Amino acid sequence: MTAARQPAPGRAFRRIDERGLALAVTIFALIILGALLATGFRAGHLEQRAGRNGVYAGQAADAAEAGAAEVIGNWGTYPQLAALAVGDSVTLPGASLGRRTTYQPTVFRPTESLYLVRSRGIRADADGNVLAQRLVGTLARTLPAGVVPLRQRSWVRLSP
Amino acid sequence: MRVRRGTRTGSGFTLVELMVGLAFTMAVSAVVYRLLLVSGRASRAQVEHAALQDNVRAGALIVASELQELGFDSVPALAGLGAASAASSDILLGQPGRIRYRAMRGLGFTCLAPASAELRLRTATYQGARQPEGGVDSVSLFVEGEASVSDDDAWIRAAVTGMSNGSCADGAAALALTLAHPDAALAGSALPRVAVGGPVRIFEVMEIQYYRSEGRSWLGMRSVSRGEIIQPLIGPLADSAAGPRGFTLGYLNRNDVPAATMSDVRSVTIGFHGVTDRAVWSGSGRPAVDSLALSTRVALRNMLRP
Repeated sequence: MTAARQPAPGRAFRRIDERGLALAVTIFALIILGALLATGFRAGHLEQRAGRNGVYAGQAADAAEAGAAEVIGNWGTYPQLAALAVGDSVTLPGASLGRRTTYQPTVFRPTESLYLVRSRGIRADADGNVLAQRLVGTLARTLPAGVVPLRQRSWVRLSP
Repeated sequence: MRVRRGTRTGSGFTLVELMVGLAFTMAVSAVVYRLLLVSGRASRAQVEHAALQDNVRAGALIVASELQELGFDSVPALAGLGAASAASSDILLGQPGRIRYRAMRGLGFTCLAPASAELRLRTATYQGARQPEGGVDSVSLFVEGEASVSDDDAWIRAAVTGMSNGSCADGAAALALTLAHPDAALAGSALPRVAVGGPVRIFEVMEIQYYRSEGRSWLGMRSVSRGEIIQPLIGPLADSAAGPRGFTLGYLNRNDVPAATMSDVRSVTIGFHGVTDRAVWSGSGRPAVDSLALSTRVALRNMLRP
């Protein structure tokens, strides 16, 4: 039993009966600190992601609005709309507004004199994955001077 | 084995070593405890602040989204539907801490000439968060005047008393709504002018309210049409009894000054003053309830046109 207490040849004497708590306490403290830091980082990350999602949703909504306004403002450049049969829909060319934001308009003709211009705004990431999308509509009617939004209740939100 | 007393080469620690070790351990423990305490407070404060920001932001998004589609009805003098009606706003009650309004729940298109008490909407073209419900919803039907002018167009309202499945003139599936008209004379003159295929909006009366419960202030929402009690939407908010209001609505007209009537409202300002759920440690050295103010403004899209 005493042989174990002899220093190894060529090495300095080292006590092997040390029972300090410093290492255990330090490891415990590091674990707790790590957990607290992870919680803080996670909360911050979730907050940042929620904020970013709000921005994406706003960009998609703005793009959708722009699409509907563009179609009504340039009605004459889409000859297929005048020829659209009552009850039919037509999808018009979409456009990019930069920063990976696009809109895609569709026009539905419910009656001879009324149209519903739907516009889907999309915010995508670099790989084309959709981050947010919004669908809005504008009820418009024909007049001799052209097509204009209804005087009352023309705007429609078609997605949450 | 013989035990030699008084030797210093035996196993174990001396009293001095033990005391030094104990003192060192206590010092390390105190430092670690202090570090954990500060880290714990910082972590809790961060979580509370994140929840506070999330709370206020969610409230701003929800309320703005609910209000942006509000509009008004009026029967113009040119419509030839009897006496012209004054503008009837979707805002039924507007107070600083409370708003009652007609919230749109769907958009459909008729597929059969409407009868006085029944309306059929083509199922395939109906869009909305849910289907219409009898006894809960109301509808606005578009009445088209002369083809060459838009000044004589109108929307007329009716209550939905029942809903069932039906069919259109071409046999396609339809939502059959039973209606009750508040103004029989108006309905009698207007319904023949509701075009087959014309748009119909579905509404439910909702209320958003700043209220106090269990000693704290909240923002709640309820369906007035369903007779619901208020349900918390976000909170806690600052208590108006103890300081700034937690939720404030402002109703502005087209000149950006407070509107005299709800029909004049063109935009609504929404102010939030959220507070943390519990007191958090901050730089002041004492725990305190932290707060965050956020204000936004929503243009009422269907009130923009005169």
